Amino acid sequence: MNCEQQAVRLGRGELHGIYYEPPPDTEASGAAIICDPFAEEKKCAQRTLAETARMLAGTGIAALHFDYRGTGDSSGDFADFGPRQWQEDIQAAIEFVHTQLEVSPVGLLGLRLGASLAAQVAEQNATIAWLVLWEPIIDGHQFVRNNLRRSLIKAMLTQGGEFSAPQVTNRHQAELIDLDGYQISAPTQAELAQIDLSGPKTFSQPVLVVNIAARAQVTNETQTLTDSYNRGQAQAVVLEPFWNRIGIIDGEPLLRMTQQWLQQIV
Amino acid sequence: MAPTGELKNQLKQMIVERLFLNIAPEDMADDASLMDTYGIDSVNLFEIVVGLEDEFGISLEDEDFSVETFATINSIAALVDRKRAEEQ
Repeated sequence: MNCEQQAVRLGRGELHGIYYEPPPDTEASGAAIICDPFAEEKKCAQRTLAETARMLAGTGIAALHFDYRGTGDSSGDFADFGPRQWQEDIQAAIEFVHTQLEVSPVGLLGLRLGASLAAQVAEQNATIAWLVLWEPIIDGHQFVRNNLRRSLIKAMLTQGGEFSAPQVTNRHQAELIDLDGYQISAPTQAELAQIDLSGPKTFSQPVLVVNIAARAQVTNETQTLTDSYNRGQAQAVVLEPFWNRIGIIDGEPLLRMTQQWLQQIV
Repeated sequence: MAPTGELKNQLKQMIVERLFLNIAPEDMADDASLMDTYGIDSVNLFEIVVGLEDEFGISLEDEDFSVETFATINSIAALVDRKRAEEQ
């Protein structure tokens, strides 16, 4: 897919993004904003999300892939920002696409925490035309618990006889938590734990919720989330959790499924 | 009571499936080191922990985490048996 890509600054200049423009001979179908996952997951998913942006542009959907404040090439330190500010960043990206790039309609495509943030923003922003939620974090408490699990397991394997589970757990209750080198403040940890996508929704545009796992089977949680939307559709794709893998994972099945769904709705 | 062969087979199936391992579940040895023999790392172990809770109906606590507990199929099966007995 032969698309133009250029670096852009948005949101009062503090946000860095890459804008993928569809080839001139492609019928334009609005834009997508790609919403990144959290911390190390963002790094692991970078390649697949860049491929996603190129896929979108190749099918006529311009794509903006940007860094939240405190991440990537955007300004600020990671520890100073959290879900609330990152929702503001997504709103700023929507505004940028509408007003600076003059492209519409705009949809949101998010992975993991990015999917959860996208879903929350969609409840507040009536201009969003569609949502694609890849493996969203539905239960923030569970997400925080799993982050602790990762730390426990990593410490268990690296500290040998020095390993103490209570010590690791205590560190996760500190004011500033170190998660794989990412400094997370206690308020951010609390905000993450409060994420709960299980309730009723007001967003009335098309929504695709995708499970990405070892089985092509939609989980009960995903089906419940999907059913909370008027126009939700759940799908499952067999694919390694690329946001947890350092090596290269071919995301083609996920991209193809998403592309087919988008072609039906835009 | 020692863990049953059926439980160990279910564990092997779950591990091969969740980790996308390129081996048949039945080719996994009960007492082989998961880390040394199958290259299981911390990311893989996390997937196993999630799989144990999702598919085997147990809930792990801090004190359940030790290298010995997650060393082999045998040791993980013993963990599942113990947790199931505790949670009954």
